[in-house]
Amino acid sequence: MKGVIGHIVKKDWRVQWPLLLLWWSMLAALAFLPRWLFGQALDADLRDLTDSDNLMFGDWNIVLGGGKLLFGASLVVLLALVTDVLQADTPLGERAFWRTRPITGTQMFAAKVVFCGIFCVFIPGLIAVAGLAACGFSTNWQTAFADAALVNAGVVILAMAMAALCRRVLFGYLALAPALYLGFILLAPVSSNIPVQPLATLVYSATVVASLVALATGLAAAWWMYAYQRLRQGAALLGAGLAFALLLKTAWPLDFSARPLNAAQPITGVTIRLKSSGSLALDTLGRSWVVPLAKVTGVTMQSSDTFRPVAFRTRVGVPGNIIALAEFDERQMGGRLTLPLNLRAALSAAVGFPLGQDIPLSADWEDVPLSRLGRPQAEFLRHYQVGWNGDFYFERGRFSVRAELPLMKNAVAAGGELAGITGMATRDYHVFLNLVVLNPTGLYASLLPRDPATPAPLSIYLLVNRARREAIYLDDSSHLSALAAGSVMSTSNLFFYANLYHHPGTPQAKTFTAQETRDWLAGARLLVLGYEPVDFVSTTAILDQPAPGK
Amino acid sequence: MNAIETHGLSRRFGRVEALRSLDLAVPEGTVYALLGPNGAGKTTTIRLLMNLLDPTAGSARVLGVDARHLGPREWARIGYVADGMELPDWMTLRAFLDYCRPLYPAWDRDLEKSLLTRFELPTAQKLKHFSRGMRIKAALLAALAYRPTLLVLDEPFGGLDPLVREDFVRGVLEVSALGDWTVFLSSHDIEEVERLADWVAVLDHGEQRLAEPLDDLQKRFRRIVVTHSASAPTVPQPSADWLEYAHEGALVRFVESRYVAGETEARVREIFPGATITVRPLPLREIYLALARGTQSSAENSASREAIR
Repeated sequence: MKGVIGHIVKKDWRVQWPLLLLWWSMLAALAFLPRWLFGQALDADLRDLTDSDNLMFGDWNIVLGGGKLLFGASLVVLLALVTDVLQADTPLGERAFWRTRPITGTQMFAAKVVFCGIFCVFIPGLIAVAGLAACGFSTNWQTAFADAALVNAGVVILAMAMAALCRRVLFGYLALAPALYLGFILLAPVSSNIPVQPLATLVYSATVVASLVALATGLAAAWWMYAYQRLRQGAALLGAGLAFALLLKTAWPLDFSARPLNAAQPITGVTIRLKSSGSLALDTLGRSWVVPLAKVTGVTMQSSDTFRPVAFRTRVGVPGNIIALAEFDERQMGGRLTLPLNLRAALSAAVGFPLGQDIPLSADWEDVPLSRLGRPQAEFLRHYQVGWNGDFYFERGRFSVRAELPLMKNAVAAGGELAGITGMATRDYHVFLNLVVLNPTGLYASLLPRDPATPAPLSIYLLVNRARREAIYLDDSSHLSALAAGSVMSTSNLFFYANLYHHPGTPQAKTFTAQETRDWLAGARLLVLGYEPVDFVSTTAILDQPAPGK
Repeated sequence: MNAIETHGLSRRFGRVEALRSLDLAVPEGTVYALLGPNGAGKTTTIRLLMNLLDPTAGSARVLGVDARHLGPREWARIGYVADGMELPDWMTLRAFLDYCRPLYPAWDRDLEKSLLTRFELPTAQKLKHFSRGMRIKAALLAALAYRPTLLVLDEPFGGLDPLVREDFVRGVLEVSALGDWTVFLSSHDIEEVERLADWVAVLDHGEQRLAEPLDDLQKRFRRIVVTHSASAPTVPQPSADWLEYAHEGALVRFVESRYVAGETEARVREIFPGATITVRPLPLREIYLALARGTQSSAENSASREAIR
């Protein structure tokens, strides 16, 4: 069996190698683009970059735009490649050559899996790692490899399933568009959440489960087609599996990346307070609903701990009688409750001095939905003294400084020593600060005594000027977009994979609104703060002013 | 032992019944031809035998194995060539043979070389640049070189020019003479079938009209011409065994489908006393045409269907 599989793989390689080389070249160009861009920035006289006549930054953007196009093109090439490989020995059609040869359907399927596994998943993973290595990357190659491999595996498996279900290459191409869209829905969050996104562990768990089901279904459908050549059954299998995956993604209840809720301990020294913040009227399927909203404030938090909401259960009622119960978990909370409570205090503790008002971090949660009431019910309650309270479950976590990197002198205004951090300003309102560390090993080794191979899954970046006791919060674009929403500072994920693997050896591109002078930046250092969950805690909060009742 | 057996094999495409209850028995070592007009169900039959289609009803056994469960062991003993068969067009013929060779433990390099020489195929040329005839020959080469015990050819002569056809037929004849090969082929090219076949089955509109050795078939079909000195008497109801019956004045012509030397002449003399009777053997083409016309003219007369079996 092995001989036959290898024989078919070799046959496919003989026809597909030009396309594979083209695709790998595109991937290599994408992987090495950041290195080239940062090299360009380092070689430039940074003072010139603030000059309105200088075109450096415009060129940079052109290259980045080209990079995004290249990424899209590489995806198209990958899809075409997989479709071609499968359609060369299509399981459908009565004229397929292989079906009347001494080759079983399972052998043919295995050959296609081996081909795609080696050439479309494994080797691209190596290329991604090589690209990171060229950017100064030295440690987190496993994650980089896994991410690149997983993304490609997801695309490849869906493309395999679609190609196996199509009688003609053209149909295979046409079927790829919806497959890709579905794949994006199912798989994209997994990719962007590596390492595990700590602010949405339930969503992450659901996504992982849904993705595994979707990918397993894709493989099963492709195998079914090769083994049995039953189009209707194969399509039904794939459709049912993907529908089930979507269902799992929206309804998966188990958070396997977090500790169990029943381990929650009462919070000591912390008061959570609910304050009425109005109500929300909803119209759903002809019914009107009223959702009282609250603002949650951690009023007495002084510790260095943060409290990340995991779930809460609210009750509404008149004395002695509970009218409505509502339970929320991360999924229902959506993106509203993503900042941990007490973040400012925790970061202040990590930095070593109170952070100033320039950092727009709020420890409050706005518009927390307490329950969902029918409009008649809400009108009825207006005539009563209504009480609201809730049990809140949190993950307690702490931030610590993972790395402290000095900004080189005149970082923004001038070049200087290599192996520093370079800031680059444009002539426009926004300042683009491109942080580059090209040589982490010598200069920063002593700053990373603890396990530099494991970057913090939740890293927060602060530009800190200790002399002025001020800091600028830099958002990491690999986190939830909600972190940046409403923030003065935003980031852009410019370099695809590159800045998903932050550690001091990896180039980072950050964008934030110009607020500080170059002098301030010259005295600043970059702090990389890592998040570590500690345990689970719970508390009960009571709404200060009952609403909507009297 | 039969190389191929079918029992009640049927296949329906939507409302169209492409094949109805086919019962075939292809003895080992024979060249068995499936004849029939376009749409008769020949290709459907072969695709059912090759497990390229699922039967709606009935069953088929190929080399003793249920056709739906043909595995590598059986495929290593089956050579299959079909008109319009997909080949890896991007390969040169040499690469194609290199690809096929390891799949077959019994691949005979000497036979491959000999067939290459006979078919005069360019090994360095890509298959996509081959003409139709060259593609068929390449497919045949790849199907013969491992000396299959069963060679299945679906419309192999379609669109081939006479020279290529001659090459093809000779190739098949030569290899089938090499051993106990069974050749099962479908065609509507009657002359070539007559040169090749030991057995013939005729399909029409998905139904089997006959299946028997070619020699027997040719023995029992005769063209009979009855010549009277005056006008021949009218036969109120010609025998159901008489196909293409025509009466024009003193002349009566028909094809006897159950000819027995001496007996048939005696029976005809009873009906046409004093007439001169001429009996002439028929080539397969005329038998086939008589059957086809007989079927058409007596579509409403089911008795004639029985007659030709």
